[in-house]
Amino acid sequence: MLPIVVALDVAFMRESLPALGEAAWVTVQMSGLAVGFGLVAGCILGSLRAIGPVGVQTPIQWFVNVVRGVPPLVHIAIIYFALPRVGLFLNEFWTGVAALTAIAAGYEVEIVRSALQSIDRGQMEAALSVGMSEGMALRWILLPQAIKRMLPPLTNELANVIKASSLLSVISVNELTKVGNDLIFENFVVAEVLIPVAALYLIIVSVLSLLSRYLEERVFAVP
Amino acid sequence: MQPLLKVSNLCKNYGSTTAVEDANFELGKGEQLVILGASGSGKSSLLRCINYLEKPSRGTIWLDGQTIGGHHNSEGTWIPDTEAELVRKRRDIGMVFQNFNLFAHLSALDNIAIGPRKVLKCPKSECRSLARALLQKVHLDRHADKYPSQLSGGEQQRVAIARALAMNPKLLLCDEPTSALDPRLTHDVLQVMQELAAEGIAMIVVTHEIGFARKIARTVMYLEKGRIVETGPVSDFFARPAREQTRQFLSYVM
Repeated sequence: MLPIVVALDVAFMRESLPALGEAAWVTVQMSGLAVGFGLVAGCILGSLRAIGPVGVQTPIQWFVNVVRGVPPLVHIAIIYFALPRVGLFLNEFWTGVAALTAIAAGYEVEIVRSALQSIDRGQMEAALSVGMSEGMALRWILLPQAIKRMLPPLTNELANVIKASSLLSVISVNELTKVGNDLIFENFVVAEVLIPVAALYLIIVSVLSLLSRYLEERVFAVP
Repeated sequence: MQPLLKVSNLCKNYGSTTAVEDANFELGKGEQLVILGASGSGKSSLLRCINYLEKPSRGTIWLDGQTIGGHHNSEGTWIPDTEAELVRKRRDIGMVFQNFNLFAHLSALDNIAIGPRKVLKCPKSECRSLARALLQKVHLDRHADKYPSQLSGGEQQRVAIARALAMNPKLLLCDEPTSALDPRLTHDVLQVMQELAAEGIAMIVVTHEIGFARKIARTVMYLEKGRIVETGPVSDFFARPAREQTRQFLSYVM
């Protein structure tokens, strides 16, 4: 073990760290935006799946099927080539955000739906009986209780989105994996790049996990 | 005088099963009605049709002269209520459930305050003082900040009654309010309900508590297989049930 550690080019690592840090920031921004948009879309679509009219169920289910059934890499490529065809010219960054958002939303629909449907039916009935509409019941009664149940699977999914952002290297987004790969091929070093890259992903996901745990135990805790 | 509630030709089917068959009755302002009957006789379905938690298959319900769930236009065609109209009408009908159904993520006080706060858009301080007053009314003022899981069943049910009262309903529907409670807790809940009855709050109560039925109700209705088979003033009903089956049912519960 020791000879390998000694063999690491520490000077190179120190030198390349600012570039990797900058790339990690791109990763954080893209995943953050995708997670944010994905959450909003996932909550709306998931709520519609749980209590919405029958007519919207099938299209939402198809969306979920497509996202689940197509590998993220293929999915990203399709969005990258399809968007300009329909007249949407986004740069690599926003194309990446769009692709990740669709992936995040697709998986979150089912998380939100199952969490909402796990709430006792009596909660909705009680909300209706005090004069709330279904929408108000969703907003004030069901979702606040469902969020706590969503958090663990949601955290899993968000971690997946962060890691899926590494696939955006194929459409030349300068995120962490792409910049790391470039460094490897330009300088013919491997461990000196991959170790900090892995560590940076680990840090980003760990922060998310901590945040999730805090929300679950403190903010949404009910005795 | 116009009755507070009028139910006519009410039917409720689930597929080919009939839960309620041709129910007709009236309830005056400030009156209390108790519905008795064996399990599966359609008591709960009937009650839940009144506030449209279950959509009746047929029939009309008037509350204070207004039909619930829709109305007949000048040509006599039935126009169903929009969701917003139905929601508006439901405000006037409070409901107390067998399993309390308190909002699990809210304190006792907020359970009561949330209706006025979100539905009636009352100022926060007003809602909270209303909720405090109602908690006092159900003798739970010391438990304002407790969550449902920290309250006993009887306390939860009294909070649920206060929650229903917070919307100042014209009619209170109680679906077996004490059947999940032991006798001690039942007593506390019945006491509160008796006080409400004395205040003249109109109530329809589905219950197996015969003693309670005797104390609060003016009228008793007996359901069998979805039909109202016997209706009468409380005193007559218990003293001289008209039908053999009713007599038998009463002999089990009295």
